[in-house]
Amino acid sequence: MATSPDATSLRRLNWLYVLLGVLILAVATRLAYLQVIQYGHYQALATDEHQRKYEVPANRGQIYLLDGSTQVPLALDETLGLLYADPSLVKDKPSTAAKLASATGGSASTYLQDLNQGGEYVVLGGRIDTATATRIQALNLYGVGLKNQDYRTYPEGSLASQVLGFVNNAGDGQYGVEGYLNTILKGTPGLLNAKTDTNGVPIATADNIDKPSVPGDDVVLTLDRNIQAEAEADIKSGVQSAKAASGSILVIDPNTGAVKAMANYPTYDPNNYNQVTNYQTFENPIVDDAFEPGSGFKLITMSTGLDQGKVTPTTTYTDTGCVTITGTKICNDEQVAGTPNNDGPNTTMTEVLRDSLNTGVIFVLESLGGVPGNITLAGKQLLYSYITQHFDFGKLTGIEQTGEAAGSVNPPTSNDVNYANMAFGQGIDVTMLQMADAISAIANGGTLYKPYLVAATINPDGTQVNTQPKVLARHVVSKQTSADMAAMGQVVVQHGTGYKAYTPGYAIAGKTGTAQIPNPNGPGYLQGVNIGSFIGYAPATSPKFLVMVRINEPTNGVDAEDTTVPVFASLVRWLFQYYAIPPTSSPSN
Amino acid sequence: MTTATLAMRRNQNLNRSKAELKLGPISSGFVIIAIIAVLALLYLNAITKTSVFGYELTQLQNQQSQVVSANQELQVEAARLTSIQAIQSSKAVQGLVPTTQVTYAK
Repeated sequence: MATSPDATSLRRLNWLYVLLGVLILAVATRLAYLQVIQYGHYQALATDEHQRKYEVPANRGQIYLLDGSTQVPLALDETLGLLYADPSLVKDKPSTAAKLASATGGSASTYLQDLNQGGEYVVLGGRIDTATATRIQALNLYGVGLKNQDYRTYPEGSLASQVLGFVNNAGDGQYGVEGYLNTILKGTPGLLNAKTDTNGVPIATADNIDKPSVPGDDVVLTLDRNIQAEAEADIKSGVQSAKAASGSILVIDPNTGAVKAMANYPTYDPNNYNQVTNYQTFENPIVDDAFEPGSGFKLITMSTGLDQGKVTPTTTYTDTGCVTITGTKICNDEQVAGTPNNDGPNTTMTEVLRDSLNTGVIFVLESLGGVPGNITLAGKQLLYSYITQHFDFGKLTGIEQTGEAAGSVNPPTSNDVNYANMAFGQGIDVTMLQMADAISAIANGGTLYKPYLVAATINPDGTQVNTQPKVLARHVVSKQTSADMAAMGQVVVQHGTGYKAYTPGYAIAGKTGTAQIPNPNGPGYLQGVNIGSFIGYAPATSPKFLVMVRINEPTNGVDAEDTTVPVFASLVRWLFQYYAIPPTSSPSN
Repeated sequence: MTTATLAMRRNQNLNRSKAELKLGPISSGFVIIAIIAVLALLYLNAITKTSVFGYELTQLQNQQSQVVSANQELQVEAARLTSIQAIQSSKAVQGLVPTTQVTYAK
C-alpha cells in the first residue's frame, strides 16, 4: 500500500521535532552543566576579570625629637614618584633620554644607559616631586611611566642617624629606632577588594570590600636636637684632632634615665643609606659595642668599697706601684714618663681615683673580702653582686635600639688575676650606655633608672602617651656613698687626670679611662692602640646631666686625658650655658 | 436628587455601560515584555549612574591623594628649612658671635 504524501510529510515533521528536541535537550544539558555544575569555576573567572584586590599601605608613623619642649620632625613619610620605563616600547631612546633630562635636571647619558639595558622594566629614578612629575607627564613619552611610592625622609639629614636607623626599599625599618619600633611605626595595611574597569582602574561601588589601613604610631624621642647637634660637632672635632678611628658621646639625664644625645662619628645620612659601603656605620656603638672600659670602671669598684663600709675616702694604703697576684705582676700606668708609678705610703682612696691607681682598686677588692693582701671568694662575690645586681652590668638595658649588647662579667669563680684586672676595668665588657646608667645611679643618690629613648608615643587618634621614668632599683648605693663619690670625682677633675675639664665655678665629677684593646686573633692586647673614655656629671652635688665620651684608637694623643677630656670639657661648658646653670662660686676658684 | 426624580426627566438613560479592557495572550506577552524592557532600562540607567559616580569618586580620590602628597612635600620642605643644619648655615646665625662671659641674674 502506497504511503500518502500527507503521511510522509507528517512523519518527516515528527523526525524534525525529535531532532529539534534532542538539540534543545543537548543545549539545555550543556547550559545546565556550565551554569549549575561549573557555576563556581566560571564565577571565579568572571570575578577575576573585573574585580581585583589591592593592599592599601598604611602611613608609617613619624619620629620626632625635642628642641627644648617643642617636637621637631626627624623622620617623615612622603609620597613621591618613581620614574620607570619599558625600554622595549621606547622607539627613539636618545630623544626620550634628552627630554627626560630636561624635565628632571638629570643626566641624559645616564637615562640613555638605563634605556639601553633592554628588558621590559627599568627604574629611571626615584623621589620625583610633584612639579617634576607634572613636567614628565606633559612630555607624554611612550613607554615611560610614573607611579606613586612612599619614601621615608629625614629632614635633619645625618643628625642622630645611628639612633634613628632607616627604612629600606621594602618598607621595613632597619637599625636604631626605625628597626626596633618597626611594628608600631609601620601600622597595619588595609584591603580594597574592588570592581575595576577594563583598564583595571577601581570603580567605587557599594559592594567593594574596603578595610581601611591603620596608620602607625608617631614616636617622640627624648633626644634634644640642640644637644645632639652640639655633641655631634664635638665628637667629630675630637676624633679628627686625635686622628682617631671613631668616637661617641652619650648625654643622659641621671635623674630619669632619659637619653639627651647619642652622637657617633663617622656617621651617615639615612636619606642616602644605600651609598654607605661600610655597614658597621649603621650601628650605634653606644649600645651595641661592648668594650673594656678601663679606669672609668674604678668608680664602680670604689663605690662598692665605700658602700660596704670597707673603705672611706681617707682610708690609706701603701702604693708600691705594682702588686703580685698569684704570680702575676699588675702595675699602675705610668702617668708621666720618667716619674715613679706609685704614690707611696699613706695613699688615700681619693688619691687612688685622682691618680687612677690600679693597685688602689685592687686594695679595695681585697678589703671587700676582709683579708688584707689577699683576694678572697667572698670579696669577688661581693664585687660581682654590685656589678651585676646593683648596677645591672651584663644585662640588656632594653633601650629602644636594635642589636644591643649585654656585655660580659667574669663570675666569682674566675681566677684572682681576672678579678684584679676587672677592678680597674679590664677583662670585663660593658657598653657606654651601661656605664652611663650605672654612674647615673651613683650620681643621683642611688637610684638606678632604665635608660630610654622614647619620650612619648602618639596614637593615630592623636592621643599622646608619655613615657614615665622607670626605676629599676633604689639604694644601689647609699646617699653617703653618692656624696663621697661626687667629692672624689671633683678631685679627679680639679687635680687629677680630668684636669682639662676643670671649669672655674662649676663642680664637675668625673673619671678618665684608657683601656687596651683585646687582640682579636689571640691572647693579650693590641700594642699601640687604646680606647680612651671620660665619664662625668655636673653639677656634682645635684647633677643635671651626665656625659660620657669615648674615642677609639687615637694616634695623636695617647691617653684619655688628651683625647676625651677636652671633648668632654667643650660639651659640658656648652651645656652649662644651654641649661642656664649659673656658677656656684667665684670664677677665680 | 433621588432616582425617582431622575426618572421623571425625559430622554435620560439611567443604565450605564462599563468599558472593559480585554487583553489576549499575545497582547499580554507584549505588555510583559515592555514592562521588563522598561525595568531593564531603568536598571541599566541606575548602574550607569553608579559607574559614573564611581569614576567621579575615583577622580576625587586621586585629587585628594595629590593634595595630600603636595601637603607632605610642603611639610618636608618646611622641616628641611627649619632643620638644625639649615639654621646653622643661615647667614643670620653665621653672623652671631659666641658668648664669652655670661652673667646670671641672681
